[in-house]
Amino acid sequence: MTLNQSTLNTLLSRINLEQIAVATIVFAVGLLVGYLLRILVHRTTIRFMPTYISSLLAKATYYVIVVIFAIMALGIMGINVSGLILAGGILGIILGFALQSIVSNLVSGIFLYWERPFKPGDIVEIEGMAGTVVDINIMSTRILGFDGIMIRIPNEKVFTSTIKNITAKPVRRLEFTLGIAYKEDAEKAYNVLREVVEKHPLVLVEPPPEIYVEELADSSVNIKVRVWVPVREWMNVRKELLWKLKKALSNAGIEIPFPQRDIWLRSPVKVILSKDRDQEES
Amino acid sequence: MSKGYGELKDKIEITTQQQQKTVITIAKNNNKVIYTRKTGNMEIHRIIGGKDIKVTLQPVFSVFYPDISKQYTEYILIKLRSPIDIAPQETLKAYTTMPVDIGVTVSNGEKQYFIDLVFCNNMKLALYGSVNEGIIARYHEANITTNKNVYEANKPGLSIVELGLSNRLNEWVTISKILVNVNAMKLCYKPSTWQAYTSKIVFTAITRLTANIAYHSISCVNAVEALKPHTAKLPVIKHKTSMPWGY
Repeated sequence: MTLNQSTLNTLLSRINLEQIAVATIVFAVGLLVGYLLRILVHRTTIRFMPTYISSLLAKATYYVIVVIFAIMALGIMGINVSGLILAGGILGIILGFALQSIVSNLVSGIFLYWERPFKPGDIVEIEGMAGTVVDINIMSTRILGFDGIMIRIPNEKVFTSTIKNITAKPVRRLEFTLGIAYKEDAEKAYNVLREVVEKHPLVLVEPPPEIYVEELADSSVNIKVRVWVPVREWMNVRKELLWKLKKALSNAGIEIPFPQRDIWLRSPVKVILSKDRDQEES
Repeated sequence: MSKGYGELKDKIEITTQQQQKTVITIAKNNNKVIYTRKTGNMEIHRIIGGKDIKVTLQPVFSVFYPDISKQYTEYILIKLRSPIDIAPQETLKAYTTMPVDIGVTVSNGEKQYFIDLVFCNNMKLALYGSVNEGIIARYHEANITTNKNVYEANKPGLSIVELGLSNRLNEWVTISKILVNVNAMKLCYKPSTWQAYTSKIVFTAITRLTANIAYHSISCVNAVEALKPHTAKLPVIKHKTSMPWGY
């Protein structure tokens, strides 16, 4: 396409060098203001926010300022920006729909940061998945399961789920139910169990352990043992203590019964031994 | 045969508070030491390489479990078997005990290194405070007395603590528990004996809900300052802690 002389002259006549200079200055000021605000936001928020959120906020501030000043500069140059803004709005809506889940995860990540239901290193259970929190980033939370499998949970799901933080407090209670036979001496069993609990170094003295008969069940007298342990050791104590309680009962000759049922028959039952049956048949 | 804290020459027999016997022996060669400890049926051996190795026994606050590498807590909760009552605006000097175990260190000059820990007490922990915001402390039941000589018994497992009890309130206070931070305290021992003592603690009831615990400096007169395991050292030594009342 060739541009004839008259068209070129028309275009050149429309350009006002003064407007261009002012627009350039406005844009440059915008860049400077954006840069300064970016540093300010980053330095302020880094004190109480994770680095990734602070950095993201600083960048967002910078780009918003630059876009605002760019639109102002275009306006100064006499370019009608209403169409641009409209197009930008429509693009924003389209992007909003397309990036809905990403934005949702992002916002959830920020809210999770503020609420702080857990921190890296905590043992948590989210949506039935339990493990140690390895990383909380802007889009997702990563948990290392007890089986060594890394689980990535989107922040939106974490935010809307019930979260059990197992290690949020320094101590945790463990419960065991041990059934002893009705014929056994319950007081002897109580003393045996108490001795095991008191000897264990990681069972806390305070809050005090509780041992009591919880239920007179169908086949056994159920004794409940409740102890408090340091939260970081609860799994180790659980494994060790249950074993020691069982062993102590066995060593003391206290029977842990199987479920059993006594059956009473209305009419007498005739029992035929094989020898008798042979005689009957002959 | 050696006796008490200090340098171990060849062999030592330790009988703990629970009457459990431990025998430690060392065999020195040119450039190594073979360390053996027998407690009950358990026997451990360690080979220590180096020339002019010195093996030393010294008291360590009983906050390590299951070995010297893991400090469970920095607090000891002293539960007084008989609570003590202090009149308004009065002070009292008393003595009590804190649990210690025996740390075994090796050195070839200046640097000392912990290689073993002999438990002299049954480890027990307790929560001081509420489940929501309490802290886990080593639990120790102790008698309190105004006569220091009561604790001159020559048995490992305990260190003597001098207590200054002060009541700044205008009402009587009853003290039954004292929570102390062992990282802010020092331990001294008298070589060739099982006597250990700590820096003085001053317990001051300042409000109806709070007490201050101040840790005084200690000069080990006719005694040696015990080395702290590296895990028990803090970059900033606290000279004062607070404890809430009512638990």
